[in-house]
Parts: sequence; structure tokens; C-alpha cells
Amino acid sequence: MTIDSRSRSKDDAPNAREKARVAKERSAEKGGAAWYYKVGAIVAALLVWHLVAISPLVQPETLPTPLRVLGALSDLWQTADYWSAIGKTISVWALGLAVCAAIGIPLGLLIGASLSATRSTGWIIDFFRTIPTIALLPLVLLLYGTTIRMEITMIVLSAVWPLLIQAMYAVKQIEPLHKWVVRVFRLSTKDRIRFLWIPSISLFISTGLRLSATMALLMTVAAEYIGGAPGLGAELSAMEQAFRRPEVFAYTITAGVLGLSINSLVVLFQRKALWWHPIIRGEKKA
Amino acid sequence: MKRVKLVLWEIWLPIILVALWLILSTNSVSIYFPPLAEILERTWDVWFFDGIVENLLPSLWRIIAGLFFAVVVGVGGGVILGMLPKFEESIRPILEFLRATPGVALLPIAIIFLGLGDNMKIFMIALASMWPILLNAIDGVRSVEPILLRVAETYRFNLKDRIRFIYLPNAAPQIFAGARISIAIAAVVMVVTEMIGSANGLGYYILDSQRTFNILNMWSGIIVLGILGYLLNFAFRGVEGAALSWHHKRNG
Repeated sequence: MTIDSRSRSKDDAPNAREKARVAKERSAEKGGAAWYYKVGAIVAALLVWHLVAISPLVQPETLPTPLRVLGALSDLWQTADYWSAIGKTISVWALGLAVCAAIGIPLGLLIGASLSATRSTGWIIDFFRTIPTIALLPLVLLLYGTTIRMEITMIVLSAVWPLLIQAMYAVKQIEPLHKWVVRVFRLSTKDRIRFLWIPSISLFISTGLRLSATMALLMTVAAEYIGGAPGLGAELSAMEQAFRRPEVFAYTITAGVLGLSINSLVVLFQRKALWWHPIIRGEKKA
Repeated sequence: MKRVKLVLWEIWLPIILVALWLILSTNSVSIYFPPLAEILERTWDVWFFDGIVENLLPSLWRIIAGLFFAVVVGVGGGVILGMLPKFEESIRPILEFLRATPGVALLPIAIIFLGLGDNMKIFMIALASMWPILLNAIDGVRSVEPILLRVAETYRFNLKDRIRFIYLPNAAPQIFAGARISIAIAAVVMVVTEMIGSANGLGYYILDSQRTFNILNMWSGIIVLGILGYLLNFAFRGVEGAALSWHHKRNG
């Protein structure tokens, strides 16, 4: 158990009624609407899509029906191109995110630990965070061509910032009191890292990771779509130019499922790895 | 004095970096990294003021129109969905799916229906940048103090007043936090949509310059885009400060 959670649970132990309310709220959050409502909403949305597709509202052949898209999707499942495109996109995304983490987290922690470093770099970080780094795509294309190196460069240029900034904030919000306690008890460096640093910064870092993961996927697909590097984006672009509409929809849905799985994976990881954190446990409002 | 010191702390590194770039690139013969002095000269020639009218204004119009729709739909939809928790939870999987889809992957579909014109670009900017605003608005409306709602009930607030005086003020700080993310997304989508099938705009200009190997023009476009992105954020902070002054006062 960490210093953090122990002190907190003693300080503001909620009374019984409050506890009951929190428990009720949490169960409502977990259960949510009954699953059949959710399925019903999805079916309804598909039905509306189908009706619009076969109605005279749209020109025939511009909007394929859900069934045709599903057919296209199951045809694609049997092709090697489809799976290799997904594999390429995922591996480039993962590699890019790993590079972002390797650069962003240590650098952010270092900058955040020093007040003068924070002040000196504030303006630069602010500038690069706000400008759309996708504008550098043409330059990076010239330098590296349609290679993985081009994609990784683009991912790092745009997705490193959330991690860096979150890591900076993470260092700043460590309780000074905890730092003093650690010093008074002369904890070893190893224990300091294990019991103070990791518990204090992990939530902020994992939030940064989630933001970066989304951004990295967007950049991967963008670099493939515009830059022409092989992967989902390139397939999408090829299908679009061949006027194979059902396949275009099928690839878009694939990209959506990929984004959704990445997002839920990070959230799941956050829940599993940070189950002890007061905010994750719902004891304290974020 | 303290202020001057703070500003000095903030600008010494950027100034040194730009100076380094300027000095190190003076004799640069690499075609990809021309001397900064030449880039700045070209930026001045191209962008003041023909380039601004030709390429910057169309981009600015698209991003502002897109953000306008994102705010209208995001806040409006967020308040409505926030007040209908059952309905919102039912369609949550659909919302999550749409949000998780990388914006670029939706481009081909938008092109099929809306063509390559401004409508498609504004639609894409609005769609991609709407999510942070919408989700934060839903959360903000949800987190209203139950006591406030009971007070409103006691005083028989009508729906309009409840939205105006309780839901919106409560959600506003969160909506602005979402809107800040939205601006960054909107700028990316603006550039991407302009890079494919466009006759003007910053994204078009940068990609077109690269394709014709006019590297100086490409760099000037990147610099102008950087300035635009920074100014947009700056303007947003002004709006946020003015709109949330009551909130900051209350919370110190």
C-alpha cells in the first residue's frame, strides 16, 4: 500500500450515507443502460442507414447498404492484403508510440523537475503543441520517402507532446509532504522510485499515453493516406480511387474498430494497473 | 521587474534556437534546409499580402466555420444528451465508435457525398473537432449538483432557465477544456483536407510547393501555418479568459 492511499482514506473517510450514495452511483455507472438498449440503438442506426441507402434520397450506388458493406468486409477478410495492411498500421503505430514514450516521458519528467527548465521551454512546447505538425509531412516525405521512417517521424512530431506535457505536470503535482516524509525516513533511491515516484506520476502518464495513442493512430493513417506508405490509409485511398464504395466503407469501419480497440485497451490497462489509485477507484473526483 | 524577469526566462531559449537556426543555415547548400534568412525573405514576398488573401483567408474561413459548427452541435447535443442519460447511454457505443474512427479514414466517405469543395472541408473539420466538446459538455451537464436542481425545481424554473442558469454555467469550464483540444484537431483536419483536391489554402500551398520542388515556398507556408496555429490558440485563450472570468474569480 502506498503512502498516498493510506493517508487519503483516513483523512476523508465518508460517512455511511455518503458511502452508500457513492456505491450506488458507481454501480449505475458500471451497469449503465441495459445491454439490449445499446444493441437496440445500434440496430436502429443500421436500419436508418439501410433505409437511407435504398431510398431515392441518395443517388444509387453512392451509399452502399450495410449488408453490401458487410459482404465486402467478409470478402476482404479472406484477402492477405487486408490483414497485412492492418498489421502494418498497428506495428507502425506501436513503434511510433514507443518512440514517443521513450522521448516524451523522460524529457517531460526532467523539464518538470526544474522550475527554470519549465519556464525556459514553456514557450517552445506551447508553440509546437499548437501548430499542426502534419504540415511537415511534405518535408518529411522529401527526406525519407514513403518509408516507415517517414511515418515514425510524423508520429513522434505530433504525438510526443501530450506525453511530454502530462509528464511535466506529473512531476509538479507530487505532494511536497510526501517528498519530505521520504527524506525524513531516508528511503533508498530504489524505494523512493517504487513508493513515491511511480505511484505519484503513473496516472498522469497513463492519461498522456491515451491522448498520444489516439493522435499517433490519426497520424499513422494520415501518413498512409496522403503520404502513400503501405497500410490501412493507403488501401483506403486505393479503394477510393477505384470507386469501390463498399470496400471504402469496410476499410473505414476497420479503422474505427482499430481506434476503438486501442482506446479501450489503454483504459483497461489504466484500470488494471492503477486500480489502487483514488481517482480510478472513484473515491476522489478527478 | 519580476514580470520582466519572467518574460526573459521564457524567451531566452526560443531566441537562441532561432538565432542558431539563422547562423547554422546561412551557408546551407542542402536543398531541403535552405538558409532561414532566405525563407523569411520569401515569406515576406509571397505572403504579404497576396498570399494572405489567396491562401490564408480561405483556410481561416474553413477552420472558423468548422469550429463554429463543432461548438454549436457539440454544446447543443451535449446538453440534450446530458439531460437524457438513458438515451445517451444507449447510443454511447455508437458515439464511441464514431469518435474512435481516425478522422482521416472518414475522408473518402465525406468526399463521396460532399465532393471536394468547402462544404466537405468544413464538415470534416466540424465532425472531427466536435467530440471533445460534445463529451465534455455531457460530463459537465451530468456533474451538476443535485441540490441546485432541487432548488430549480422548487422555484419552478422552466427548461430554458435551467439550461441557461444551471447546466451551461456548470458545464462551461469543461466545455472550454474540450474546445482547446478541438482547435488542435481542427487545424490538423484543415491541413489534411486541403492537401487533397483543393485549389487554395495553406495545406494545398505547402504540398503543392513540395511537389514542384519549390522548397523555399514550402518552408514559408509551414512558417505561416505555425503562426496561424499559435494565433488561433492565443485568441482562444482570450475568449476563454473573458467567458470564464466568473469561474476563475470564484475558484481563485
